[in-house]
Amino acid sequence: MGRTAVSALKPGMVFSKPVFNSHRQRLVEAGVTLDARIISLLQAWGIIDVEIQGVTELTLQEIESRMANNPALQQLSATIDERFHGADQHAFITELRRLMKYQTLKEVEQ
Amino acid sequence: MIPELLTGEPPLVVERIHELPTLPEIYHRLVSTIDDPFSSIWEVERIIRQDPAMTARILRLVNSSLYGLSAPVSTVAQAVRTIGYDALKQLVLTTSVIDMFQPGQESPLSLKLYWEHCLGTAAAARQLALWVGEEHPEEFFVAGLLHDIGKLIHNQYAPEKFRAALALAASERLTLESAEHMVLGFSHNQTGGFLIHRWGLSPAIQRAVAYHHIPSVPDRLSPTLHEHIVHCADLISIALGLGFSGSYHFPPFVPLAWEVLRLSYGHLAEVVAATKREATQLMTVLFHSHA
Repeated sequence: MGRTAVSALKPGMVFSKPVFNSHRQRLVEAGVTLDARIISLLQAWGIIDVEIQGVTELTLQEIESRMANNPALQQLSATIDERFHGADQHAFITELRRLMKYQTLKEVEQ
Repeated sequence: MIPELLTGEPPLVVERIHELPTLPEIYHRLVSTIDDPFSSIWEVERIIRQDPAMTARILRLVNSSLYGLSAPVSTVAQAVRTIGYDALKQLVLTTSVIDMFQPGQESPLSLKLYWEHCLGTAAAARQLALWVGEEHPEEFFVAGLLHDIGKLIHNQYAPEKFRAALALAASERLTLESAEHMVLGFSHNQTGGFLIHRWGLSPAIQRAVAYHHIPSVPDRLSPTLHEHIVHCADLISIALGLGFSGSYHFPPFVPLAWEVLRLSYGHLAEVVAATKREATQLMTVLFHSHA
């Protein structure tokens, strides 16, 4: 399973996980099929991405190699690395770094 | 008062204890009125309305997308009915503390960047608390908001030494905490913990402020959930690049702090996304009138 930007959602896709707003209120259940009304709801709540069935999560290495193809993204990737200067090598920190780069990649690709 | 701080009071706050800022009267009156079982919502409204700027800011916050109301509220009483007393106390404390520290001309710290980092930590702490299932997520928001308050005391009462600590952190690529220890002999978390005690906020918030860098030191009392959550929230805010914490080295991570929350990386993704949204909205609402 992987996360898909709200801007890239198409009717007919199926949610693999429920979607919550900032108050932990459930906006959509897992297993629901997307339609235009749901996309508007997610946009109104400022949701950036959701988990969709059949979409694979990109690893940190895959994200970094995609960012390396674009000079602007490469620069953004380096800025993120700078924030993590001297960080411990722990799975939590690696995941945090992956999320930051993934979010940046999506925002630019949108 | 937590025992470790009694034995290790940072000299700066001991020397200048009578100059340290105090929480405004309006906050204390609000808390005692809310805690009084015989008080009414109208008394709470009357207290808040005595400060028109605070009233306007609270209504702006409640009507922002942070609360996702279906219809806007126009009075404090309506706002209280919608968000509840806990959230109201948090909003009053947030706006009071932000107003308490005004930028000096020679201030070594950018207050706007400082508050952006703290609001990011506050939003992340609240989100983590919600996912953990805490009943009072607003208390975690306050702990996150105030976690670095000692930096503002250093910035205001020891600007030259604090400037030297910031410069040392930059030149040697250190955490600000390490640089403060080298220059001042103590760090912002100690000063902050002491200040929170002086303000009479809960021991849980006091400990979260004092120990947010090291929530699992084995030779003291068991760390609290507040300490663990603020520790993780601080790292999330730094990772998101929200504002500036003063550090040039990512803070050491204490794995236990994340493990005790028993959350998945899926939860972390939700927390990160919600933190970014909330922190941006909070900055817009709280600082657009300061711009």
